[in-house]
Amino acid sequence: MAAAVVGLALLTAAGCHRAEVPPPSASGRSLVVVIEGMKFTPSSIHVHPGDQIVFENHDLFPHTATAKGVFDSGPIPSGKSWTVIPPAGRTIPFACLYHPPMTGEIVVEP
Amino acid sequence: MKKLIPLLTLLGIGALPLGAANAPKVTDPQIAAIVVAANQVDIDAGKYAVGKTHNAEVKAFAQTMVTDHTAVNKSAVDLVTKLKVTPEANDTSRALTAGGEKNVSALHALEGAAFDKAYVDHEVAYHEQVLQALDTVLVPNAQNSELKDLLVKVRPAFVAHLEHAKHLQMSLH
Repeated sequence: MAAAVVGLALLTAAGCHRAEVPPPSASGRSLVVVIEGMKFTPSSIHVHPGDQIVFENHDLFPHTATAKGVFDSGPIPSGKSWTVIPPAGRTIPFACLYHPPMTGEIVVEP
Repeated sequence: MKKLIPLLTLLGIGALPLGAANAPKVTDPQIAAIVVAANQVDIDAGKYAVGKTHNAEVKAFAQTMVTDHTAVNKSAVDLVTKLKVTPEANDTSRALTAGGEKNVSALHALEGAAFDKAYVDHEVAYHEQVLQALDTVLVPNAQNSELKDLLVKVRPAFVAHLEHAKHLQMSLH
């Protein structure tokens, strides 16, 4: 089950040793979540299946975008970004592992 | 555990009403030295705690302190290098460094839960003081706009650190 979940959450990262992922489908949008000032902006993201979310770190120190059992960016260095296509049909809470007060949620339409 | 000497006392504010109009004058080179010293104090305490604590949450917090304050110091040093500003050691930066060394020395004598509690208690008090100093002295007095912008940019990190430390403090008491 875990493998299937991870398989559904296709990952890519700039500057990290993550697997290459195919570009989003023609219908998939790309939405940016800015990590700055110790918060995710926006912190609540509504997407459609196939949309990709790009976490851009504008802070001076590393953060993560981690949804337990769904996706984990690992450290996103300052100035770098990390992209995920979240699995469809669920609400996914996520947080920065290094800074627990930093939280957000992704709502993926069915 | 000895009480922290209030940072604002070290900055010469004492019992004066707070506010930019009454804030003592601190130059940009002095601010740079204070910022570097303040970050280094937390880096040193964090490194010690990472090596000593057996509590996973305390260890994770301490590592975050090391990572974040190291990054802030790098940004501060890179900026003053670019601006050709030489940090000027002053009574406040020296007192911060001395206070940090005393804190680590005191932590040497503690073990286990007592260590964790003392380390986190100090982190709460320390971040409260640093935030107050940022707001009432360092930011209002910074003359160079890039230095001021850096101080403003890092402020949310100190707020987040304080929030994290307080949450941890509650779990340890």
